[in-house]
Amino acid sequence: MGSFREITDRATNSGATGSGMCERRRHESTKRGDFFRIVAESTCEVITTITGAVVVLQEATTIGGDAVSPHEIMACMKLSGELSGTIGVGFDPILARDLATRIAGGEVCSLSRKDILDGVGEIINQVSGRVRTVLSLSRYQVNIDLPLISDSGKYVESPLCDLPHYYTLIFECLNRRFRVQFCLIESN
Amino acid sequence: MKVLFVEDSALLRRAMVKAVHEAGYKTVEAENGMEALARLRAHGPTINLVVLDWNMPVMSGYEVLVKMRSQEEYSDIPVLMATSDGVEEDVKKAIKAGATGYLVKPFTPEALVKQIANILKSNTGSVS
Repeated sequence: MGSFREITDRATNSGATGSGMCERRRHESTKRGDFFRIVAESTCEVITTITGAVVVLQEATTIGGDAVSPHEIMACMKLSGELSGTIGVGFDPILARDLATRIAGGEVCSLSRKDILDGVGEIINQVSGRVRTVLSLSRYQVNIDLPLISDSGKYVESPLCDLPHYYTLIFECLNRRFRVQFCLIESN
Repeated sequence: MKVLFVEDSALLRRAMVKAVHEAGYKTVEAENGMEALARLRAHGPTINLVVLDWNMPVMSGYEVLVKMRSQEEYSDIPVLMATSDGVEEDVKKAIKAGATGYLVKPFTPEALVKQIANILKSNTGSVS
């Protein structure tokens, strides 16, 4: 599995062609690594703070296409400005319910489906807000929209994102796995 | 003491209200800026503090803050911005517009209660 840094470094360097890597690719690789770390750290901080649950990064990869489970509850935020793209999170229904329960303060019986979707939306809202704040410290001016939430297993893709694939972070929380996917590109 | 919570996430609002009730405060809730102004009109002088999210549909928290500060009957009610927006420029913008405090998400219920207590204590002019 590896440490947090090892996992994000492995993902950053995936696709490199050995010692002949050109300067441009090294610069892009560095930025991709920064984005991995910012998104991963923001995710861990937000979920741990608002739910009390421990979150551990398991894996960081790039994936082709949009391999999504139809049962996942998903939410995403569009980013615009000097960086544009999307950050999204997908939970299985049980984990989504458990996290929403913890956000609400532990009242299991009174949670509706709407509350669970609300919880997932609030998680991506706060993760994106945290990412935006950290990016602003690196002088990236980024705006975020309101969250889009779906439990039909389909992400809403940013129209500005023409990358063929997303970057994916896999986490473990409460003995279940969830993922955060993102694509961020610099606007011209 | 009565606190008005303005937050579009019902779940988060529930969590905040629960924590604040346990600390002994009364609460009023609104899920967007327009509702917040309606609650202020209805409850007016009985509200001691407004906890205000920024990014909301219909009317943002910043717009509510500006409107509150422009109306004499609400201009002295302390406002705690509780938002995921931690960008320095936006923090300064809110303080300049009259926010009393600024709490960046994520925060624990305990941190929220502590901030509320500090603001209310300062506002009542208690001498420590």
